[in-house]
Amino acid sequence: MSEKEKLALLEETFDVDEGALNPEMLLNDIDEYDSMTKLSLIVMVEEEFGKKLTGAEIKGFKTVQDILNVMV
Amino acid sequence: MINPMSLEGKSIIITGAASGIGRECAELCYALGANLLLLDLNKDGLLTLKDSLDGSNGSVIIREVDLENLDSIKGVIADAKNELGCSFTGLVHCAGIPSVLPLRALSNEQFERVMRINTEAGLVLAKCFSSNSGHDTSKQGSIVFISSVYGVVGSAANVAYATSKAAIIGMTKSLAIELVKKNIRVNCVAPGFIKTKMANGISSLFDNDYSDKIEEMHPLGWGEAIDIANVIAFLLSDASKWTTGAVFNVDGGFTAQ
Repeated sequence: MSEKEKLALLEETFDVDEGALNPEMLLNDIDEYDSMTKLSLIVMVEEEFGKKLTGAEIKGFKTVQDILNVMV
Repeated sequence: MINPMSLEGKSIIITGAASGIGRECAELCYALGANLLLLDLNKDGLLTLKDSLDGSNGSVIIREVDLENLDSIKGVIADAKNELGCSFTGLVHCAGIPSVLPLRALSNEQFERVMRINTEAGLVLAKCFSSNSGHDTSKQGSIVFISSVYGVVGSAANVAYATSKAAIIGMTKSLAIELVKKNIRVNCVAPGFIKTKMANGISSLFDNDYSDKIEEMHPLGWGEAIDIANVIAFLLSDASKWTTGAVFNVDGGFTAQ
């Protein structure tokens, strides 16, 4: 999956407009990065990449790139 | 001394018996003198539970069952009834799965799975229990369903679970009216947050202060499984013989606010 496709998947998960996310963005600066999005992230990563994210891993994410790094 | 909550002479089916509320309920019902049919997906948990019961009270039968396979339930009940040697006087459907998912992440399949285990399985169990071959028609029968505070009030990221538990309340009231002719009472308990493996699993998804926030939502703090089991035992006993169609909010005051 290309980075562009991963970002599109994240934008859908975050429920933001297409093109709204870039890898350098700080998650704390994204209003939509709330508990609902974190739960959706867990589901998306498991369904698309077969990985189960833990609460500790979620807490460790600082940037969009951190999330992209686990989407493999 | 009279014990109004005695369950001697009663034979009770309990689902989800290997852990949490179901396990606590099984231990209490056994101590109160009931014969038990314990159902769960976790066979090892059932074996551990059965071994822990001291053998001085009623008979205990265990069956591994996947409640998601609704068609298998009838055969399991019938087979266990033959082994127990008597019909049943009580049914408690404690088994259930959580579903902490925002609407945007909820698939049709996930929703249907939650409904199948939490709600439809209860319906199938009630059907088996209330049949003339399931229920001991010489005695008053009692069905206890488990709803939730989230079947009564709303919460985000919980629509599948909340729907399944709200449906339990509708089922309770409808079946209470329909089954009165068969001398069967139907009630439900709507627990607040209690310390179980399910609750711990949900807590791990959120921030460290999640547990504190949950406690603050309950005027009496976190509950314990025995708090729910005590009410279930009351509803199974003759002490509640004039109670049917009721929803017991056992929630530390959560829904009183």
